[in-house]
Amino acid sequence: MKRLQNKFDIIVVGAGHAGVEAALIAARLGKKVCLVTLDLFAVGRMSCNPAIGGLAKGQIVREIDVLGGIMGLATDKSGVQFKILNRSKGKSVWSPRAQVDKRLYEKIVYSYIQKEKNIHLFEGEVVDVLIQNNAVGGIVLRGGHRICSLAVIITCGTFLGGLIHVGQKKIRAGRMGENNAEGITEALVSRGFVAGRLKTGTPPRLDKNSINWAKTTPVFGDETPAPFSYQTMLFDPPNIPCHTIKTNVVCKNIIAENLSKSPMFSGDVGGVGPRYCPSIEDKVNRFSHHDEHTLFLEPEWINSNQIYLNGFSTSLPESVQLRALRAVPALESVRFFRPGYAIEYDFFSPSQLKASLETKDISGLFFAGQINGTSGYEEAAAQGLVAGINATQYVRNDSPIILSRDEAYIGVLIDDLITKDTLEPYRMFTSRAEYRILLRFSNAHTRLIKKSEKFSLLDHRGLNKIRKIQCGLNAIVASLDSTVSPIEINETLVRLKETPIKQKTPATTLLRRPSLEIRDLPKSIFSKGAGTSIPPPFVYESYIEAEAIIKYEGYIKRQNKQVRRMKKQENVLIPSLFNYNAITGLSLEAKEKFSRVRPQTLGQAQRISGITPADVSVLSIMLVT
Amino acid sequence: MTFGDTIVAPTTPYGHSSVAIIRISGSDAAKLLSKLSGGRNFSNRRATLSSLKDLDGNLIDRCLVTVFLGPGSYTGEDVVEIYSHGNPSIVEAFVNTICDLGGRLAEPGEFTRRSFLNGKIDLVQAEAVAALVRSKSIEASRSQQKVLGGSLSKILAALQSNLSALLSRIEHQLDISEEAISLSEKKSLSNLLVKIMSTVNHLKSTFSLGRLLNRGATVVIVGETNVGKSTLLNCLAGLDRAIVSHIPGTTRDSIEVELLLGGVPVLFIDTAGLRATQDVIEEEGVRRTYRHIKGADLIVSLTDNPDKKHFTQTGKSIISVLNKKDLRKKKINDKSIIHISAKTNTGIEALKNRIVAELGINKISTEDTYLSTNRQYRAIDSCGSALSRAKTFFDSNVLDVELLSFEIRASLDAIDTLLGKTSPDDILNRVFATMCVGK
Repeated sequence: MKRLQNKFDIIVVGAGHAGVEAALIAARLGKKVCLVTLDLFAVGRMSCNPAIGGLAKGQIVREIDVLGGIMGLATDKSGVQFKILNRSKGKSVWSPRAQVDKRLYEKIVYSYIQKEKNIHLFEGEVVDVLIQNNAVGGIVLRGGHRICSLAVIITCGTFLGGLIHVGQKKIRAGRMGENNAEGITEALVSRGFVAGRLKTGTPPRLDKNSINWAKTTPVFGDETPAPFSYQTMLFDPPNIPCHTIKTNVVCKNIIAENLSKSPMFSGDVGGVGPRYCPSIEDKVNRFSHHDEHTLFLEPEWINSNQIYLNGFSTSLPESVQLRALRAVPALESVRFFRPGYAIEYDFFSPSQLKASLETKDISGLFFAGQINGTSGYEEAAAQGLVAGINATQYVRNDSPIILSRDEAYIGVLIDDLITKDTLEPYRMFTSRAEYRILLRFSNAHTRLIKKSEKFSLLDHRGLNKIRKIQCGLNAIVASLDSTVSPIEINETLVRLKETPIKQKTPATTLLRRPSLEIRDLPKSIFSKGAGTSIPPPFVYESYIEAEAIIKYEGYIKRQNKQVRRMKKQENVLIPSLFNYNAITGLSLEAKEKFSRVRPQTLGQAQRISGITPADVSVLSIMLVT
Repeated sequence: MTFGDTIVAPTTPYGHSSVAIIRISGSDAAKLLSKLSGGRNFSNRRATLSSLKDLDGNLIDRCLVTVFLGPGSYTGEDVVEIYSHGNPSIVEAFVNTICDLGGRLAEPGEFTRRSFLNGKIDLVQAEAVAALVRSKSIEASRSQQKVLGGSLSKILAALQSNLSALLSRIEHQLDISEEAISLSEKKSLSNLLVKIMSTVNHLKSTFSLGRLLNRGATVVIVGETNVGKSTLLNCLAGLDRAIVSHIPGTTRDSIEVELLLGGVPVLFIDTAGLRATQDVIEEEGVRRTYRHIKGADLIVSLTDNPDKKHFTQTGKSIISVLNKKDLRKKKINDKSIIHISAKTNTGIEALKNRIVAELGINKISTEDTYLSTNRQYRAIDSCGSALSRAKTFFDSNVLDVELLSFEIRASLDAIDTLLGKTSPDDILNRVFATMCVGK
């Protein structure tokens, strides 16, 4: 180990998905970064499912990519199967997902860290944060060694006070087989931070050779895969299948009989679990009329012996897990590498943060990732990226990057975190975004390139690659202004049960018909060169985006109108020391919530959970009087 | 609530009456009363006889006053009510003095708005209060009392809940299910949508009756000169309101009489007879007649001769009436025409019944709930149009679930303007509570 220098610009605690994005972006922005991890060999580890992206999360990965993050690029290089979800449900909700080779992913992320000269990777356990005059000054390691810095980003994942449950068995750990982190929670709580407890779970890992594959159904990815990163110019990933199986009544009954042995039901686990990712015992209990649940067998890496059993998250005793699964066709003689388990961990209520992810009370101290009560690699990476940029801005004494709700899912994510009560691990859903139609995965470049450029998050080469794709897209959209003659299109229209046209008609007009897709238009209308500047992996996607721009035009206009209305409130600032208790017209609940959350704008104030329009009216009147 | 200002307004209508009420609300209300009464202290919620004086020490009135300390008051703030003698100049003197002492004349509805801002009443109830004040008859106030009691709130809440349920199933498709939407789910969503649409349409249709109860209706009597329009008005009113003579063109200006028909205030307007005239004043009268016709809910077209043509030239409902039955021996069999004699008061009941039926007053039931304000109607109307647009997506051979969701969200937003916001969390909570999610 190199001799540790004692003064950094930024210290990042934790090297998971949040930590690596934070460290990498800050380093690229020229800051000296110390990245502290409990385990040098667990950098960028995927603790749970071997997949990146998915509904709403795929859009986040795209946004991370435009903002200079590495998650998209690392996924493109390590993916074993790529698929766009929601294809049949409307173009703004199309979401890319990839099955990923976990080992390869970690290796790639580790190599990015190693290549970065401004990052000093360091193994150790942080037990306290140095604070002077309400500003952060560094960290204290176990053993008492201190490292100084101007800013600190804490990204401890599930390691803060991590406690694993398998049946009645309890293990203090951050992940199965890895030590947890003790002490930071207490240190922060003693400084006035409010901590809570959350719970999440993971399914068993199966031995590939113990599965009867003949009884499973293979599921492949897309024939023409779409990459996550705009930087990926050549893209030819494998298409390795996952497999599905179905649970049955016998399995259900075994679980039902043993519910009391699950710590979730015995009351042993205090934390609140995610409702969107329920354990199998929860599904059996709440939907007892469902005899079957689909399970997915996902390889954890190429030629992996270890199979991730998606859909069977559980904290039942290992023996019960095994018995229940052996009742399922294809798993009659299944063996585990390790059982499913539940894990409880500490988090800090994110209403203690500003929109920059800096804590409201201690300047220079940032929180990102699961410590803020989120779940998911993508949510963590997005926060790490924003915290990394903003810690850099803080060190430069410059203003932070804030993404708005109409601009990015990341904006929705952070705004939700700082205004909503965290009752369960927060996961992104497209329905959380009220301006969803504006937030397409295929227009991430248009939405974010200006901010990316403003904060210098990509180098020139990176920016140019994105601009080239945008140029091609603009050319495709422009060529849709040309007209189509009846002879070119009527045959197609008849086939689609649409009324034939009688005279030359602009392609845009035709495209607004619900059944007509851009691929149904005659090739001749796309002027020579339209789309030719686009790198091959993005050609298909750009045509789809062009179609969305035309088809959704009316809806996009309506949403933009809503956005303008929202922005009026958004820009009313609230002084940070505003005394809510002096407003006699506010309900007690509103006073308590406003005082605790201390919203920065009227927009944030109205989104705080439990706040009524009446509270906001009163507050708005008080702000103008 | 400390707004920093205190408002005042008479809460009884302008004019002479036995008692008039002046209401003051705001943090300074009690202080202002103390100044008016020469420094007296008043107990909370006790009517007290007091001599109140203006800035120069002149007595304005000796009358009852009551202090309601907030939050236990109508607005939630400190409120003072002065029950003065019902003389407009006394009321004016009070309001002026209070304004001179630092109060401000309340904007229309401001007491109710403050009451709402202080969480004393919800938005729908606030509207009902405003409508209650304006409502002109016992029946109308009964309908408004119902809203205050929450019957419209209840119906709207059920609608909001049904829309949330529909939206949560759509969001499940977008946010959870990775499979294509099944035919049966598509069918079931479509059925649910149709069901909600019929509720919305029904609610929308209640507006004309609700408005009728609240604002009443206007019936304009038109016809050529000297057919007996003024006699008919007098006959309906049961008094000599309009001057009647045998000289054609006697009625130059329009004359109005308000009657209560089936609990609904109906304004009858007797108009100048329609004819070409050289008389400048009569000509203006005719012009006014046409203006009244424009604003009418119903037109009574009067003739005095079966061979004369009835007034037809508007898009409004018209009742054709043949007057001077007493002067004719011959019986006429045209059932579409009502035969009356305004002079002998025959056929008037039949005419009234026909007016009641034509305006829809007979359809009003005090058991039903009606939309009564424009804002409620606009919200329901925009909810309905969003639902109709949503319905078109089911007619297309590819169901764009995303746009479907957009329109359902728009319809929910419209209802939310009446009841308060449905947040994305409310929708997700429903998804998790009712559907099996998670791989």
